[in-house]
Order: sequence, then structure tokens, then C-alpha cells
Amino acid sequence: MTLAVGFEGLSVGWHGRTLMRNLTETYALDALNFALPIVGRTGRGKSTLLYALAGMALPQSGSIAWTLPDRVAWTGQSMASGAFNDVRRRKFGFLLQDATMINCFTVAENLRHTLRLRGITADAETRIETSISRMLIEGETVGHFYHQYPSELSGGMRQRMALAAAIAHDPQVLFADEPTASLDDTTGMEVLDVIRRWIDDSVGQRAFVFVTHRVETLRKGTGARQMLQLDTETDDHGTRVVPRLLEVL
Amino acid sequence: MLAVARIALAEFAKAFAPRTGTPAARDFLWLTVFFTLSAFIVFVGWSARAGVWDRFEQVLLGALPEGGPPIRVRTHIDLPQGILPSTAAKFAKDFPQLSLVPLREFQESDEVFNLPGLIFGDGAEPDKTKRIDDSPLSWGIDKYGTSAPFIVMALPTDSPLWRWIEQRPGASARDDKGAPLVVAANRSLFQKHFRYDKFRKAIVGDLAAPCGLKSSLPEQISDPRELKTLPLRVRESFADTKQVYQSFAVDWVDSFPLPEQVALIVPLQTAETVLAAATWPDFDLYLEGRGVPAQRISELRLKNIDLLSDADRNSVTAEFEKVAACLGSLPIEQIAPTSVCGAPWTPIIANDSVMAKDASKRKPLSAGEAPSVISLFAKTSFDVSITTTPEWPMRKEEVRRCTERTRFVHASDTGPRSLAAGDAVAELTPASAEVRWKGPSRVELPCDILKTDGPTARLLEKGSCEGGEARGIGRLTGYTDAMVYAGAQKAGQSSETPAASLSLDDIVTGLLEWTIEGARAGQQQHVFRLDPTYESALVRFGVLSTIVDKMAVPLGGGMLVLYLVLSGVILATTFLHRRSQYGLLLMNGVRPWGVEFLVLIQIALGCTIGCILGYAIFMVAALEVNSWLKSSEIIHKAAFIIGLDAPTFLGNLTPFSVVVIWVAMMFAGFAIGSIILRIQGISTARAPIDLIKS
Repeated sequence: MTLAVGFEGLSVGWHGRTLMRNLTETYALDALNFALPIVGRTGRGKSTLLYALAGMALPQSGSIAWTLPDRVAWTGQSMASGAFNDVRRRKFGFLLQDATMINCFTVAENLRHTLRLRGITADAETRIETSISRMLIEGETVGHFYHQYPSELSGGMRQRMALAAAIAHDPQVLFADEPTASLDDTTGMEVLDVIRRWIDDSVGQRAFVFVTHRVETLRKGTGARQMLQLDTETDDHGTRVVPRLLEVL
Repeated sequence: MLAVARIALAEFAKAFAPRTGTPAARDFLWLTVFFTLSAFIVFVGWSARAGVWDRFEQVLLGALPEGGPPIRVRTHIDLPQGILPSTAAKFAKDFPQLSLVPLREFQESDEVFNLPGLIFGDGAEPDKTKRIDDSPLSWGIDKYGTSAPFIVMALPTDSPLWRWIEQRPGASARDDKGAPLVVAANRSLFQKHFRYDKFRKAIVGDLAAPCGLKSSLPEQISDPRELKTLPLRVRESFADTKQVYQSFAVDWVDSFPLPEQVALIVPLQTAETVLAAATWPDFDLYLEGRGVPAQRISELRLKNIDLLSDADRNSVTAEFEKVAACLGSLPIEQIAPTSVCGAPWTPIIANDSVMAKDASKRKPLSAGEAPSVISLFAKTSFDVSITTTPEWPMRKEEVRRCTERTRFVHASDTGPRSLAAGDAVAELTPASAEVRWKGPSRVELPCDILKTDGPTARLLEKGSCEGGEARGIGRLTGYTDAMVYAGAQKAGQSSETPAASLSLDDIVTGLLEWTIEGARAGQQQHVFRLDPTYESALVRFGVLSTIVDKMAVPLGGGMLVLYLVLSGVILATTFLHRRSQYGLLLMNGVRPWGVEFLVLIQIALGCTIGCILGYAIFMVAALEVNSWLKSSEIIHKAAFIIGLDAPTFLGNLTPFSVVVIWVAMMFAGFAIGSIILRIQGISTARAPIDLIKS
């Protein structure tokens, strides 16, 4: 098991409301073809769980542990530590629902600053160009994007450049919150294809954890074999969200 | 940290770029504009307050840029001996933060420094009711009927007022060695009260005035500044009847920043050198020597002309007669009334002079009768001579003026020695004693002048002229007037001197309450009282300064609150625009305090650039305001009447003040920025998503 994520006694929620309570699970990403989609109906807490797994949101209780393959675990209390922050900076990449770039910087500047924050300066320009070129579709060149501000790009272009920024520092796990929501089917597939290729470029070393509504494109687009579906369950304590690992059809 | 700093710089620079990705990128431009305007207002406020304060001090108290406001004191009425060196020494010990500048004032009746034409004849007090345009006096009422006494003030040349004078454009270079022959004249007073025609007439009509001086005076002048030198009548000996003409280099000043109207300021060194001559009977001063031994010429003789051929004798005698005429010498046989260089001469004086020429026939002068001031020209078959009475020898420069283009050009430099036939030889007087000024009230003179016994022995400084010393220290009368300088007092609080913690009122009170040991054991004696004119000005200054100080509190406080609120609003808006961006930075591994660091860098940049731009705008505004002030009629009038110098209202910010304002604004910005980051939950965010999704 080279890559895995697990949680113990994990409770997460949003704005003080608990959505998932006392979860204890472990998922070996090797068995999931290194892609873990999180699906479910709106309001079930897909993004909340994703942010918790990515260390971007504070778990209400319990702990989360990643095997990368070194084990990294944190709780709500230890999240503020420098060591955890360093792991998040070097090992994780993020692609949010809206673009993950600073609007006052050009695409190249965004990538440059992303790399700088991770201490990467030596071959930064090469990495920037490589990252951008990896996102190009037919007829596009690096020059089309290099000096453009995010606001000057279409939604799809912006999302692809945000993806370029998210993986420019070569993270081990890429987290994405509905990465294709603002894209048409074709472009969305192209973005997912880029991600799949990125995973396959270094088999066993990279994983993709993401939230999506497009269950129908999962297998084709990301190669995911299973998905984590968030369902509700009612017991004596009330209604709670429960994650279930299901086969991707 | 370096990466965060670079992001901060890059984002800040984007605010000024022609193309930005979002309108919010301009936030730092507006922040810089805000800092620029704030800095400008603070600079103007700070400078205007200092300007108002300086002008109050200048206008009301006569403050000088280097000396601050002077405190004009007179000695207490129960201290007739005035301020003695021992008093000054105790003052220096009791008030180490203050400087005491003694001064002497000479009125026209003191006959120490006098304007020619101000007192006539026997020196009697002139009838001031006759000071109208047809009066013969050279100083009188102006055209509006205002009178001003002719006051000469003596101050040390290292005093703030002299330094102020010598820093003025066009001031003459002064050599402070010995007794400088320079005066500063009040152009405003001279223009109103000085009558050059009467002044010139008085000199020309005075037999004691050298012919060279008379011929150097222009017929008329349109402005007193045309006089590059000012001849004054100066007392040179114990005998009050002997006043000689001495020309002083003159620095014209529109007016002096003093509470009283002073016509002339002379160096205290020179004044006390003259006073020494008036104090010790055996000390005859030749002031042109400025205190160092000098000689004058008592006789100029052309010897052994009988050895010359007739032609040569006639030639050399004729040339010598021209020199005599130039010097204003009269033939010894002259008994008819005539004039000497324009001055009337009567046979009575001639008779005295004739007797003065021949010692065996010399008639003793009757009481009150002055010795002849003119030189006599005598011719025999052996020699030709120009002779003076012992009391009125000729100055070397006067003789040199008359001989410079003759064969006798070197005569004024030669002593009595054997020369070839037809050469002129000068008989020199004994050299005057060397006098050295040793600070206020103290002069060093030979002990045979100071005398260890007799009426002047009490003036000998303790320990002087004992044990066979050749020279000793004599003490002049104490001072009845002085200026006390406390440095540059600002608003009664801030100052660049150790007197900073004291207000002007505190200092004045301290001076008035200061006592020294009185004549009787155990008795304490007050030393100072305030000059009445100064006291009135001080009260006015106090009222105005209190008003300014009281107004400064609500105004300054209001401005501070406005600055804090506005900077808070601008910063809060800026941060709100960047909230998700700060979340992205956290997501990329920047810690919350890193975000705060980034923001503080941007505030520092905005504040620094704002202060630089604000200062530049302030300097332009200051130039404009000051230029307007300089050209305004009231400022011209103030410079002319009360000596208001540097008519500037803005622009006197020191680099220190600018740095203080910049640092204060920056730290206020830091504080406001940090508080808002905290209030908006940015610097306290525990997870990136708190900022990205809020």
C-alpha cells in the first residue's frame, strides 16, 4: 500500500453544523486506481469531506491520516503546526470549484508564485512552461496563456490553467472540488484526461481525490474503479451522512 | 518569508501597472493616494504650526533662527553694579541650559559712539523740540512726526544676533580679531530718521574731521545703503572732549529683530575697547589699530632743503605744500579767518596753534579751551614741516592718502631718522598701549595704565599686576542689560536644547526669581527684571501661543481620528477584496502570520511612497505659499519695520520631523491593518477554507 487515506472518529461539518459523525475508515488508493471520487446529493458534505481530507478545513473531532507512503496524521488541534503545513505545501495540490489563481497576477505569475512558495526557483520557468503546455488543446500555444490574467480567459481555459498551477510543484495528491463543473462535456473530459495522464506518468506515486456530480464520466475520464458515495442514515441520534464505497459502473 | 515578500511587492506593483487582472488590483494605488494626502496634510499642519510659532516668536519676541526667542532682561534696580563677571559665572553654573549674552546700550548723550551731527558744540543735550526738518541735527523725527532715539547697542560678535547679521546676503566679511571696525545699521530707522545732508554738513563743518573723510562723502544719497562705511564720533581717551572720527564698515539690515528700536549694533569688543580708553586716564587709544599698538604722526618734516639746488628746493617744497593742503594744514602765519576743508577756522584758534608750534612761546590753554585740532604748515630756509598739537596727531592713513602720489609716498611709514636732503620724515607718536578684550567687562592692559593705586585701582581684577607682572586685567562697569537665550523653544515644550523641558514662562520665572548673595552677609539679591517692552511682548506671545496650543489639541486629535478611521475603511475594503486570495496563500502553505507580514509590507510600501510624494507636494505648496508671502506687502513692511526675517510660513520641517511623521503614520497603518486582519478573521484563520469559502 503506497498511498492510502484513513480517518478515525472523524466528525466534519460546516458553519458549526455536523454533517458526518464519528467516521472510521481507511482507503487504499492503490486498489482504487489512485482516483477517489466523492459523490452524493447536494448538501451531503462532499466538499466538506474533501477539504477535511486535504487539510484545508478543520475536522470537528477525530483524526485524518495519509500514507504517502510516510504516514502523516493530524487532528483539528495539530493542524496549525509547521510540520503539517509543510506536508500540505509540498505533497498536496488543490483545484477548487472556482479558479485557484490570484486574479491580479498573470497565469505565469500565478505559477511562479506557487512554485516560489514551495521553495522551487531553480527551474521555475521550465516548470511553468511545461505545466502550461500540458494543459493545451489543439491550436493553443503557451503564449496564449503566459501573460494573460485569469479574468481574460474563458472558464475552461481558466480551469485548465488552475490545474496547471495545482500540479506545477508535482504534488502526490491532487484534490479537486468539481473540477469540470464549469466546463462543457468535451472540455471537462479533456481536463480529466490531463489529470489521468498526470497520475499515470508516475504510477503509484500520485493520487486524485475529487468531488464530482458527473458520475457517468468517472470511469472513462478518470479511470476510477470505485467512488465514495455520501448517503444519509437515520438512527437514535438523528440523521447523519455515511460514506459508502461503491463500484463505478 | 522571501517568497511572501516578493508576492507582496509584485501585488503592490500591480496597482500601478497599466493593465491589471481585476479592478481590486488598484486598491494599493488608492491606499498610496490616501497616504500621500494624509502625509501632505500632516506635513502642512506640522510645518504651519511650527511656522506660526516661529513667526510669533520672531514678530513678538525677536527670536532668531539659531538662538530661539531671546529673553531681554535688565538688572534689578537694587543691583546698581550690574552684571559682573562673577554674576555671569554663577549664572552659567545655575542655568547651564541657558546662555547669557551681556549687552551695552549707548544713548546719544553717552558720547561714546555718536552719529556726527547729532550733538553739537559742547555736547549739551539737544533740544528735541527743535527736531524738525529745519533742525541742524542729523537724526530727528520722521515725516509723520515720530521720533526715535539714536541707540547704539553693543553685543559680542559670537552672539546670535551678530551671527544672524553676518549670515544675511551682502554682509561684509568680518575679522573678529581685536576690536572689529564694523557696525550693523538699521536701514528702516535710518531711512526715517537720518538726514544725510545734516550729517555731511556736520562732518564737513568740523575742523576735527580729516579732510580725506570729508572728500569721501557723496554730495547726496537716495538710500542710506549707499554708504558703505559709516563715520562715527568715537571717544578715544579719558578726556570726554576728545572724540575722533572713525569709519566703520557698515552692514545694512532692514531692521533688527529686537523689542526696542536700535539704530546701530557694534561689536562688544570694540565698544569695551573704547570704554577702556574712557575709563583709565593713562590709556590713549588709537582705534584704527583695533587694540594692537598703533602710532600716529605728530609731525611731517622736509629736512635740509638748504642743501638742494634752487630748482630742486622749489620743486620739492611746492610738492610738500600740496601735501599740506591735502591734509588741511594752515600756514603758521595764517591769522585771517579761513576754512579748512570746508570747516570755518578763526584766528583765535590760529593764535593757539601758533603758540603750539613753538614750545617756548606756547600759551597754556585756559579751562575748557580745546587744543587746536588742525595741523600747521611752517617753512624756513632749512626745512618745511607740518606739525600737529600733541592731542591731535594725524592718522597714518590720512597722511598716506595725501602722499601716495608724491615723492613722499613712504613718509608715513618712516620714523625719525637721517635722510637725504629733500626727503620727508615723519615724527611718530609713542605707540598706543595694546588692549586685549578678555570677555564681557574684562580688558587686559599694561599694569602701568591700570595702576595699583589711585582712583582706578579698584577696577583691577584681584590678583592682577602683582609680583611684577607687566599686564593685568581691568574691569569695566557691570552690565545693566542682557539677553538670555534658551535655544529654539517650540510650543513651550519641544526644543533642540537641554531647556526642552522648560516653557518660556518657566524660564522667565526662574530668571526673575534667581538671586545671588547680596552686599550684606546672608542677604539674597534678585538680579534680573524684565525689560518693560519685552514684558509686554511676552504677555502677547503667551496669549497667542496658548490659543494655538489649545486649538492644536482638538484639531490634531480630530485629524488623528480621521486618519485612523479612513485608513481603517480603506484597509478593510482592500482586505475584503483579497479574502479568498489570502485563503489561497494559506492553501499554498503560507501561515496566517505570513499573510499579516505580506499586508504589513504593502502598508509600509504605500506609506513610504505616500510620504515621499506627500513631501514633494508639500515642498511645492511651501514654495508657492512662501513665494506668495514674500511678495505680499505686509511681509515687506514687517521686514522693514520689525526685522521679520525669513518670511516663510511653510517649509521648515527638519529631516527628523519628516522621519518621525513617516514612522508614526506607518506604525499607525500597521496597527490598524493588524486589527482589521484580526477583526476579519484573516490573521486568525485556522484553515484556508475559512477564507476561500466565506
